[in-house]
Amino acid sequence: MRPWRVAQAAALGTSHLADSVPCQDSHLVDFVVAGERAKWLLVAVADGAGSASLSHLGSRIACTTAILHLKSNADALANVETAGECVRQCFAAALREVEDLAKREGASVREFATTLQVAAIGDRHSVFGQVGDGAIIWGEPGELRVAHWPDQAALNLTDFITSAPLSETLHIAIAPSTIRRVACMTDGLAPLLLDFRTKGPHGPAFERLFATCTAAPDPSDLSEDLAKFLDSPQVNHRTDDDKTLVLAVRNEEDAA
Amino acid sequence: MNQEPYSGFKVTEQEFADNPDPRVPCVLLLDTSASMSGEPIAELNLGLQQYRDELLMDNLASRRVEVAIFRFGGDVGLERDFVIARQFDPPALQASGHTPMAEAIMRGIKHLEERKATYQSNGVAYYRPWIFLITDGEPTDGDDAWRVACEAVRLGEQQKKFTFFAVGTGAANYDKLRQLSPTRQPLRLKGIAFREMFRWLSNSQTRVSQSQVGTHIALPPATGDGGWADVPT
Repeated sequence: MRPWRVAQAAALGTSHLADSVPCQDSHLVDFVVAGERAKWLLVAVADGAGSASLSHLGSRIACTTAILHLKSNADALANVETAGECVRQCFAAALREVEDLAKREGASVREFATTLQVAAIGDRHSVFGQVGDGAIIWGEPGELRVAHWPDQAALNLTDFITSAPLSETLHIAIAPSTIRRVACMTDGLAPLLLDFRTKGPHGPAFERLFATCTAAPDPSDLSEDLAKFLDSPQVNHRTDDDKTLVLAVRNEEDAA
Repeated sequence: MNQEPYSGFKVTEQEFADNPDPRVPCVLLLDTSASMSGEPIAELNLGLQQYRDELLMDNLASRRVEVAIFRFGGDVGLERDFVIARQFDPPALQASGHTPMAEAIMRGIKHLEERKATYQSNGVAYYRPWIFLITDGEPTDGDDAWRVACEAVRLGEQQKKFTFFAVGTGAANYDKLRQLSPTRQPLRLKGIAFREMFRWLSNSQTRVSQSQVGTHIALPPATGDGGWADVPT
């Protein structure tokens, strides 16, 4: 059986719908398989800048490049000593790819501005990397936390991989144990799912979402059901930005 | 909690986070000196009502845009403290006295910083604040005070603490206004098109309040055909 149940979906913000702006969020989920088992769950989520005309491309390329880099460097990921640097390098690779694309298109790299968050979840340790807003939530049922809380001065002043050296904007965190819950989300969902006072995940919402992943009789329905949820009036009433959510729950048999 | 039959993702109202709405703070610094008497002040007052009405037309903007007003005419007064647009009650300003513009700028900046501190201690997220100055004259509080105000605006813009707009009307001294912001040109109001200006301000802030965008927000054009302003030369 697959070791993870994954729900992944994105929905266009209602304000973008009104202005005919494409969804600027991107996400990608992949696995590194060794033998019969998936050894690594890899998640990338990116939010293209609202003010940049080609940021929907920037976010897509950032996600695919980051995941590709991690897949080709699974050995570095497997060693807890080198895993952090491996994730750092996947951000550098994503930035290079965006810069190359900008050059080829003859456009300013700023037009491709995007945030990027990456989660690499292994059996014994996991690594998280983040530039800009949005959040990676991880932990155990009842004990969820954010990998990094973006302490930005103002909401419209987030970092992008293109906006400053990665040494200033990239936050890496390592969880040195087996984790059974992980979620990646863009900031469009922050008002609903994060608690701004405690600067952490809003527990009740995530517990419910993860419980739904566990409860689904057929996990292959999850992404479609999550997409419906993200585009529901209940959610759109609370945010009109693009929103992306990836939820992953480790199958209990696998964790044992 | 997962004993019910599976029916997709459902989160109850109580399970969602209950965060305060993020805010778009805006300080209006309004010239109410004697030269504004008559039609200009009447149009400015109508403009403020228009501003409120336009903000109320957008659900998010009405909850997220917060307005405070300082008037400067004779002395400087906090005419309206920060409230969300839904609670904003536009004042009926009256014109009198000289033009302590530098003092109004300094008080506006200080008031904004205090508001941001309140946001931070209450877990309220906010967008880059706006300071919007409207004048038909020139500062009367002396060269030293003016230099200090210019430096405060320059520093605030540089550190992205706020976006500062200067709008002149009538006999405004644009040379002085240019000294305020080395990066952003002052604008000259066409005639007394205060209502068009406030409609633009509302539209711009509605856009800001709607999405979480980068540093450079694509504002609707203020100048050109159909705009409410031009760039003075």
